[in-house]
Amino acid sequence: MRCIIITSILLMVLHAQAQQNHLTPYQMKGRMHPLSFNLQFGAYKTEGIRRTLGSLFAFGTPNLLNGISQVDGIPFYRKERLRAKDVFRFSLLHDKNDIASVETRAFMLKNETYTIWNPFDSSFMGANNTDILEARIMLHSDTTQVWQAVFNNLHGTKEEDTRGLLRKDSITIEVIMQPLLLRMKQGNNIQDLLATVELVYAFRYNNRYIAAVSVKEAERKFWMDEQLPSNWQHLLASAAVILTVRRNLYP
Amino acid sequence: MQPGNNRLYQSLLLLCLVAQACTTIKLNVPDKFSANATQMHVKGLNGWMIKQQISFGKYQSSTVKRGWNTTTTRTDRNTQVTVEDRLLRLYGVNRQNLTSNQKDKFQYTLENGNKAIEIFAIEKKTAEQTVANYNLPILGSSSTVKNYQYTFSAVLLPLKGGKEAPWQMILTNVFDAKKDTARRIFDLPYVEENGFATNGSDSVTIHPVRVKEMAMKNGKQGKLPVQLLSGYELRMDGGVVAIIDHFDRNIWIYNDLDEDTQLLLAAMASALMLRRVHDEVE
Repeated sequence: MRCIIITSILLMVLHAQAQQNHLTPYQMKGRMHPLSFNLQFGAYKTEGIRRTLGSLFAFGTPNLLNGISQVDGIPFYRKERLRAKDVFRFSLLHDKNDIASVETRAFMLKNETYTIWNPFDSSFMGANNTDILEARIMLHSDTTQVWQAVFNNLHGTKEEDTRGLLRKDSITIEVIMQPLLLRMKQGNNIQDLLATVELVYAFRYNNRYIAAVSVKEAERKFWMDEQLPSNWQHLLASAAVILTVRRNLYP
Repeated sequence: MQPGNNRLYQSLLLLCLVAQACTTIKLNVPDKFSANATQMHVKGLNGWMIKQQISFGKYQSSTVKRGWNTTTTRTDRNTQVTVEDRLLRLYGVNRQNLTSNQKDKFQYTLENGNKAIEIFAIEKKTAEQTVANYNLPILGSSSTVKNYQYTFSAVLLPLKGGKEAPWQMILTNVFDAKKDTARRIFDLPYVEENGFATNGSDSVTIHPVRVKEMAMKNGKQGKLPVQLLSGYELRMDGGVVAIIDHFDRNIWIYNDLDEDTQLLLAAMASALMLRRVHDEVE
């Protein structure tokens, strides 16, 4: 009986891991230096990435106690309040056709307090921080095809998972940061069966993985289920660009 | 695991490994299994690595073609702000969030005299860590691993002339400091490990073997202070069909199996032994 249970669990694990082979990988090129702003992957290319001037600055609230409550550089009280934002827009082209326009607004409100009496208080661990990225993705310049996206804790400052949602009407696609077993290359050669575990933002719909994009900037890739309707593919590609283009707002 | 503990743990492991190198220890294989299995010592894993070939029992490999074993390290996205990050920033210690990528690949053919299997394999490890550089020379620098993802992936293609479904083998280790349950000195870090091989219809699962008790070459039993990764078990339908002993470089394969299955298990075991990327928490 024990053997049957263990075998069943193992088969479930195998199924869960093999499941991601239906996602086709694309290498994401571009943005490797400051003069290369646009991204290119598969048939997709970004165009006109524009940031507001305010996205380049962060604003803090001065606190007099921070300066005087330390001895020889060792603080016994420190309160850090900082506001930073990243507001940008871009268009996404597919085979040189404009298929999506995206507006994004990310903001980080840092509110962390350290006291020597209670050094690991939740307010020091980022419990009071606000780390939100919101976006509006309009497909084919059609106002009936507007998707809302929201992501929480993208900078990992809170003791909680990094999650997000893409939503239109009653349809919701979940996004979660997690390691996932994915194919390395697309093709039909024997060696194209090789797969690696990657840390990705995974997109799930009805508990099925439909796309993923690398979290790390080195060797960025995008994986997508090519069986999806084209509109969904464009939506997922737009969301992947948002997660790749965003700036770090936590100093 | 806390950074201080990590260093102590590494030192102890090093001592154990030195002790292991001096006394030659091997995995305790249960009598019930060893009575029905064949033990084969793997030759060619050490020494001159140019035109490397391995052999064990009736199995002989071709020259192992290796790619570059490369490691790149760069500052990359910070996926998690840890307690250590916050304290280092608070006390003005120079710190960096670095991500390293290590890759290795190899391919070879393994034959038993009648049949052969071609093996293509790749290893990749991505690790994110905080590196702190202290101003005091006595402290130097320290690093703490936040997370890593290790994958060993191989494709095994039976060469019989006809169409034979390739086997895909995967071994993964995923560590995330957020999920780590190790708190005491001798606690091992919590690593999610999965291993399997499948050709679509049949499957083999790979299980790491961590033991404290070892057998010396003179037959005496020895005990280590911590559990060490000493090998792997390969299982089919829940039953153990092969054991890989990393310490003494032995492969045990169950006798009551057909020739094709034995060759397949030998190919998997040899591929696991030829890995070069360190897949544990450093």
